[in-house]
Amino acid sequence: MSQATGHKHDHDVHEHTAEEVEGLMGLARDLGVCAEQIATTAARLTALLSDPVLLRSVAASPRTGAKVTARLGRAIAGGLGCGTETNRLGKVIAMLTSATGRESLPALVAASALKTRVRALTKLHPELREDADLAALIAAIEGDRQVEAVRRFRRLMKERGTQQALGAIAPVFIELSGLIALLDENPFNDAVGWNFAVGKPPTGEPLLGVSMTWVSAFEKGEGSAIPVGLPPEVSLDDTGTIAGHMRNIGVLRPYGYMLLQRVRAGDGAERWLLVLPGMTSDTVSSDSTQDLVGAIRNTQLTESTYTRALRTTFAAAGVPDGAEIALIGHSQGGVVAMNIVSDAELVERYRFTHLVAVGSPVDYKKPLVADLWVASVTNQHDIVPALDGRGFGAVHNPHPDWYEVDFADGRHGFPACHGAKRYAENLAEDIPEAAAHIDRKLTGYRGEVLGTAAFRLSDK
Amino acid sequence: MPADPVHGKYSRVRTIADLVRAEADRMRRQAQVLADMPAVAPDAVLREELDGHGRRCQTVARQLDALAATIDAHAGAVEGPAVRRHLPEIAAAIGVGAAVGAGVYALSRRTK
Repeated sequence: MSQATGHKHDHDVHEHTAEEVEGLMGLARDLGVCAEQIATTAARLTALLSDPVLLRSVAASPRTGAKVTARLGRAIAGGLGCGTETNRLGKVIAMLTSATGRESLPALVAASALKTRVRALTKLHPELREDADLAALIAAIEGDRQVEAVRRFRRLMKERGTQQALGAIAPVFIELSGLIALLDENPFNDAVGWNFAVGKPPTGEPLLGVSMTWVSAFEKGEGSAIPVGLPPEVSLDDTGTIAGHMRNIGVLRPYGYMLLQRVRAGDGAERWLLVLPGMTSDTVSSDSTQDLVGAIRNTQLTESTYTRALRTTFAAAGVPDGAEIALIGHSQGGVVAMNIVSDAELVERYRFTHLVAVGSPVDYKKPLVADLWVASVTNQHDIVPALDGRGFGAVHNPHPDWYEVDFADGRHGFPACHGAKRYAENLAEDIPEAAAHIDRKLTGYRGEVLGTAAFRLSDK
Repeated sequence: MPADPVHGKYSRVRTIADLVRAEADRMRRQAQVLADMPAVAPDAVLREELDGHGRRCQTVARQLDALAATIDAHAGAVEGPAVRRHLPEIAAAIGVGAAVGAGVYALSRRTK
C-alpha cells in the first residue's frame, strides 16, 4: 500500500490512529522540552564545581566549603547527572557515573521521548509491533539490553538478509540509534542521542560518537567537473518530470555523471537544470566526490570538493550571470544542491528558483535563497534521508514551508529502496499526485531541451 | 565588629545560593510536568517510567534546597571574621603545638 503525503505526519491512515499518533508525538515533544529544562539545571550545577568564586570561598572556609562540595557532588552524581551539553569537568563526571551504569536524568527523560516516538511510529507501521522478531529487538533496545539487542539484530540479518532487516527497522532507525546512544555505557555518543531526541542535527555517529566533522576532514582536493560525452548506450528521458530526472540519474549511476541542461520552457524563456547524482563510488574514500567521506562531509558542512567543482562549472558551461536555475538531486546530490544554495557567491551570481531533493538528508540545511521552492521526497524505509538525525518520526520541523513527501511502498528492502530508479518508480506509481505537484512547480523547466552537458566529478 | 575584608570578595556566594534555589524550583516544575504526563502515556511501562522521572526530579529538588541552605551557611562563614572561619584549624594547630611542646618538655626532663 502506498502512502503519499504533502507533509510529514499527515498520513493516509485511519483518523483515530492519526489522532493517537499526533497525541504521542505531542507527548514526545513535551518530554524533549522537559529533558532540555532538566539538562539546563544539570549544566548550571556542573559549572558550579569549577566556579572560581565558589572555589576561592571553599579555601577561605574549608569546613563549610567541604559541606557545600559534598552536597553539590551528591546532587550531581547521585541524582541529576551532568547532561550532555556540559563543560570538560562535566564530561569527566559523566564518564565516571556512566561507568557505574547510572544514566543522567536528562538522558533518561530524552530516552522516554524517543520511546514515545517509537510507540507513535508503530501505530503507523503496525508490522513493527506485529512482527515478533522486530518487537523483541525494539524491546531489547528500549530496555537497555544491549547484548540481547545485538544478538537479535544479527539473527534478523542472517534470517532475512541485510536489505530486509535494515529496511524493516528503517521507520524507527533514528529513534533506536538515539536510544542506544543515550542508554549505553559510552558517554561519548550521548550527545548524538540527545540531538535526535530534542531535534538538533547530530555531530557524531551514534555507536561510538566519532565526530563527523573529523571524518569530513579526510576529503581533500580542489574539486573539478570534467566535461564528458554521454556513452552511446545511454538514452536520456527528456520529459522533464521529476520521475524522468530520477530515471536519468539511475541510468547514469554506473558513470556517476552530473547533467546540466538548457531548456526552453513553454513561456519561451531559457532556463537551466542541474541534475546531481548521489554516491556512485562504492568505496569509503576515492578520487570521486561521490564517496562515503564526501557524503558525510556534504551532510555536515556546506562546502566540499563536490561544491567546489560546481563553483566554476556554471561559468565554464556558459550559464550566464542571473540565469534561472533549478536543482534536482538524489541522495548526496540533494545535499550538494542544498550546499549550492548556501554558497553566498553562487547565490549572488545566479537565480536559483527550485530545488528538489529525493532520498536526501537535507532537513537541517539552511538555504540562503529566501524565495526558493523546496521539495523533499523520502521513502520511510530508506535510512539515508534520516542520516541527518531527522527521521520519519521527528517531532520538530525546521522548514514548515517546504513541500515534504514521505511515503511507504510496502517493499522494505534497503538499500534497494534508496536507488534513483526505485524512486522514479515510486514517483510514477506510488505517489503520482505528489509527482504531478512537483512537475507543475517545475513547469518553467520543462519544454524543449536545447542542450545537455555531462560532467564527471573528481576530488582533484 | 569591623567589616571583614573578604565580605565584598565573596558576596557572589549568596547569589549562587539563590541560583541553586531557582534550579530547585525548575526541578519541581519539571516534576509537576512529568506527573501530569502519565495521563496521556500510552501504556503502563511508559507511565511507570515517567512517574520514576518525576520522583527523581523531586529528590533532586530537595537535594538542591539542602544545597542552597548549606551554601547560605557557607556564605555566612566566609563573610564572618577570619579567626572564626579558621577556628578548627587554629584549635588543631594549638593542640598539635601543645602536644609537641609537652613531648619535647618530657624528653628534656628525662635526658636531664
